[in-house]
Amino acid sequence: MRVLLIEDSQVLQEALSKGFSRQGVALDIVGDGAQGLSLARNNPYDVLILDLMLPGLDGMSILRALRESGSDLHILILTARDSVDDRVAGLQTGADDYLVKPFEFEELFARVQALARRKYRRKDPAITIGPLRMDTAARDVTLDGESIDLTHREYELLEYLAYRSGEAVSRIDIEDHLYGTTNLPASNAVDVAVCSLRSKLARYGVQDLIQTRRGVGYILDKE
Amino acid sequence: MRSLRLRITLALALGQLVVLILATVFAQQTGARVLTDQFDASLRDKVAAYESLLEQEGTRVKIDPRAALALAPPLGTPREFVQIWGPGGRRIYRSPELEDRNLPKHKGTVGAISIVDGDFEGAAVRTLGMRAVVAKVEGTFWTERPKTAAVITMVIARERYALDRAKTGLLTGLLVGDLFILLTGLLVAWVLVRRGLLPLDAFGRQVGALDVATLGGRFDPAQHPRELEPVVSGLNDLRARLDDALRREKRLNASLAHEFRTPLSELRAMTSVALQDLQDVEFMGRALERVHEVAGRLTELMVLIRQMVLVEHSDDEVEQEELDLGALVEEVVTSLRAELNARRITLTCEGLDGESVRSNRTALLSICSNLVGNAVHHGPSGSSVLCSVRRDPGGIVLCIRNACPDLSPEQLVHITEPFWRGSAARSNPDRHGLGLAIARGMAGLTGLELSLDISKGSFVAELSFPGQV
Repeated sequence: MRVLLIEDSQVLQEALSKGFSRQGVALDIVGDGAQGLSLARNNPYDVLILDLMLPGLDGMSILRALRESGSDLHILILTARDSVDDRVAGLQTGADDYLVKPFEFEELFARVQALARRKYRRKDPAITIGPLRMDTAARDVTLDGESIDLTHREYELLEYLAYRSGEAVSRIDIEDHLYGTTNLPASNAVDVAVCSLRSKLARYGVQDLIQTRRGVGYILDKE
Repeated sequence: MRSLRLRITLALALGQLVVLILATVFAQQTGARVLTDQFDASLRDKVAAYESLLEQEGTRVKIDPRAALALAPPLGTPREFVQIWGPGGRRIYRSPELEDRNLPKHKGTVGAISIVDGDFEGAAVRTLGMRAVVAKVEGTFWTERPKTAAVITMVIARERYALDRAKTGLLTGLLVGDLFILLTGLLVAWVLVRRGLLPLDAFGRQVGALDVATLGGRFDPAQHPRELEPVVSGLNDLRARLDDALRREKRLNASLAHEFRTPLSELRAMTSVALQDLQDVEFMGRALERVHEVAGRLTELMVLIRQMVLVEHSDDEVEQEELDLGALVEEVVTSLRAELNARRITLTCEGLDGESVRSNRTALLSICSNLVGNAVHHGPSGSSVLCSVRRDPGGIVLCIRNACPDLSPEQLVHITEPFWRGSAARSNPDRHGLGLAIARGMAGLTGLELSLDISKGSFVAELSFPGQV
């Protein structure tokens, strides 16, 4: 999952950066509104976490600009403004969710996960593909009922492929969703991550769950 | 306080009572006079009747006793006493009711009639007395016609209880009528006053129904009587002021809540992420540093808020003393030296040496700290700040000028509002947007005047010391 945070509080940036990276989420952070809008326009984020009172360009202007340009990016407003008018204005301008500060990190993360699921048109946090069952809310993976231990990166890769199961996903797409703009991966990072995930799945007797489509990328399919 | 309706009704009733009393007195007087006149006229008629029975024969005057007796009033009517004296005081006639008593003899001139009230033998009577010449003379000039006309004296006293009763009846009738008119008038006045005051009642209900939610509206003067215009206008002004104060209070409360939300969310986010992995000692240390830093900011914010609230709600008289303005500004500049150097800002003081003003030291130091600090914090790096003093006819003026390219004239209106910050300052956690609000409050508290303006790309703050020249 790749998330953009536009927030000018350095302490929040630091806390959320740590919190999201621990969950394997690729989080890009920017404190200036204008820079944030530029990043949101030019990168395939799953979710945008947007503060409203920002230097450069305020959050509502960013929201309006994105919606006017036809962006279907899932946007969560994270702000200290708590009045009903502010919430209504935010949601009516095109935000998908609205969370008022102060907030619990767990709640923010759960809402971001829910928005990411909505992007892939899934309401049920559980995904079942053949012997594989993923609980995207609890971030738990089982094969034939047996829990398997994955790193955050491996989990993110598997979740992304699962969200797009039956569809060949290009390496660039995977790279875009696993790594932020500030964390540039090695050229074969995706192949290494897929290889690592395959070998873990193989330990549980599952060989062909992730298949390679030559010249295209990878596909997660029960076939 | 009594009700307005009751007051007006009572005033109307009082007016009505006065009119009724005057009318009653007039009617009673007129009625009594008419009754008395009628009584007197009947007495005169009776005199004329007796007079017509008198006959003069020679020197003698006589009356037919049977005819005279026939003139006596019938039984059951007020008694009448009649006595007639002839020339020389000789008694000609005395009515039987007098028995052997005499009526007091009339002593007036001939032709004069007197009518008086009095008592006769315990009875209240009205007495007519007269002296007259006998008109009916018996005989002819060649027989026994008298040479001179005889003068008689006649007194008729009639009991006046019927007259008194009629007068009392008249008065009673008038008083009963008055009471009826008074009560009817009261009722009519009550109803009319009630109807007349309906617009006031409606207005009262509207005022009574005012609450926080409806404070923003205004009373429509066209819907209320002209007499209430000053009240409607005054209440509309009051509503506007209350509404404004309430809005400011709401804004301040919202701003306060907002100001605390961000540091609180920083604390919660940082601590909850740190607590997720207690083994991550490096992040734990950094989180503690951040928490400490945020707590420091919150403490500073709390001190500033307290200062601002004290300034806005203080009624205390502040002590004034003679202060060296130059030394005071220098003290402020010294405290800002590190930031001036770091941001390469040049601060120049002109004409401050030797200038003394009368003010409160703590308040003036706070104002200067906020104004000069504001100029230094918000001026662009490498720019300059000028502190100068000039003498206006109204008093000494301390002027602080700094470059401020980002501030627009529209923003100037909000600049002294608590927690207002320009876009650039909003992300700086050390800037709370309270400096100018506190400076303005302190200036008001100490009788100084603070004006803020934008002139040729510069922000100009002028602190005037009225009357100090």
